[in-house]
Amino acid sequence: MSAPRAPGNAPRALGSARPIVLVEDDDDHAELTELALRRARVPGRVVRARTGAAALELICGDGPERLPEPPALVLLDLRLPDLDGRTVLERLRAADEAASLRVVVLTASHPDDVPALEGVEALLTKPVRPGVLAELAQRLGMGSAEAGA
Amino acid sequence: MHQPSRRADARVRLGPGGEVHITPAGVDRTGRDAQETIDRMPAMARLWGPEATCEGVNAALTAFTGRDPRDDLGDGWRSAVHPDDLPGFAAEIARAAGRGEGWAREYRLARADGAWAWVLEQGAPRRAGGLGVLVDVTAARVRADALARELGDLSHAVSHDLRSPLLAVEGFAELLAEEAPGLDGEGAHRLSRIRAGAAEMRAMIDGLAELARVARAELVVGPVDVSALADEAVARLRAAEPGRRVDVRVQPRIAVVGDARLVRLVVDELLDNAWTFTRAAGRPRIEVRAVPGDGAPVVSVADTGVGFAAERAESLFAPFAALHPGQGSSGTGTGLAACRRAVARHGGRIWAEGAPGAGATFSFTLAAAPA
Repeated sequence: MSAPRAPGNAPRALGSARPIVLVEDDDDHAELTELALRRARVPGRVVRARTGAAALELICGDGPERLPEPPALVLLDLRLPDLDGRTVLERLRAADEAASLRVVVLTASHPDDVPALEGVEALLTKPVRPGVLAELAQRLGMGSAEAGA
Repeated sequence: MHQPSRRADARVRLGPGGEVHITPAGVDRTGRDAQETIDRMPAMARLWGPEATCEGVNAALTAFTGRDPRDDLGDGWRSAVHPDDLPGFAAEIARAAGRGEGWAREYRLARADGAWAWVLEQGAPRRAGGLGVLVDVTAARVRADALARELGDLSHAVSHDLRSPLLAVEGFAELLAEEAPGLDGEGAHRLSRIRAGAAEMRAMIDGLAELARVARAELVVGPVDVSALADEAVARLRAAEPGRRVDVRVQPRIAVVGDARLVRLVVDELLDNAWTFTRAAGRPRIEVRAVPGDGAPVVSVADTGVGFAAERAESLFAPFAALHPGQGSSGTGTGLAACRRAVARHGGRIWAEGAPGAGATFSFTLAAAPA
């Protein structure tokens, strides 16, 4: 149990949880995913990166963009305008010495068209359902209270 | 030694249209004269005896294969044919010659440089054997393969790019349906049409993606237990619809050599279709059986369902040609197209037989197809 678990449906844990990085260039899918996270009551503010480069800056860069703490979860779209999602994944893994970063891959492809990926928590097809996210958050010990409506 | 003087006995006769046929006497009367004839032909040719034994090859063919012509005699020719193509081709030659019929078949033949060439051999009966004329069709096959792969790459890219915005439409429509219980009857109806349209479009895009997968797949060829695949497919269909009573018979131990994933796709699709189109039948029956074919068995899935008009037997395999347009077909019209592509990737063929109200039988074989 790495994250404190809020009693019942109380959203108090939201403020204290580590952020979630959403790497998604498409505004519609970003909106849908953020909404699903909210409805699944996954704690942690969502920080959006529109490109692979921006995601790397946020998580392991040495500039001012870097988050003060490592994210609780990275939701990574495989098709990005600059870098391939796989490349982002490799660079994150290379920078992540403790191998503690949890990455969930998002795809708009048919699952049969996505070659196997190593070192990811899950492969989710878009649009992501709140129930799926709630289950995932629970499995990762992120203290999701329960699935949204 | 050949006797040139015999040519003087050439026979001349008039054909039905008044054309003149001249048959040089002696030619085709002995193997040696026939050999001389094919040696003068610019095309590659060989003489066949009974039971697929070779009685002679011409200079053009010898130049192509780089082999000593004597090495091709009898059963010697077999060592120059690709082992996957040999059983089917040998069986066809033996059968056609035995019946006094012609043949046409594509197979791989070893070239002088050691590479495999695709040749089309067309033959005519001759005494107990035949005369085969060969054409190198490698370039055409390579071009066709490259085109199919290019088409696969395009469909792959297109299906992905279409999918993303469509999934957003589906996602927002789903939210609207969940979050707007206040929608009145008409609003709810309109929303349901948006969702149904999006779902239909996604099914079509997924069908396109599947076609692309089949076209791009790397074949891993090995023994495949068709009976086991059929049993699994039937179990899945029964589990999805426990209420339906369908008499399904699967002949045990049907084995083919092919890519397991692609064979599964074909078996699944044919059984899905049979399952769907026997829905209205009084006493629905589905039978999966196999008969020996040239080099590979011919596997059939027969049903007692609604059938189809015989003239549609060919168009069923075109992409987006639904089996029964406007009759609530469950398919999106790419399933049979994917089957055809999967079978073609093995050099085989698939065909359909049926009549309205009299059921349908879909058969496939992974053996090389007669051209």
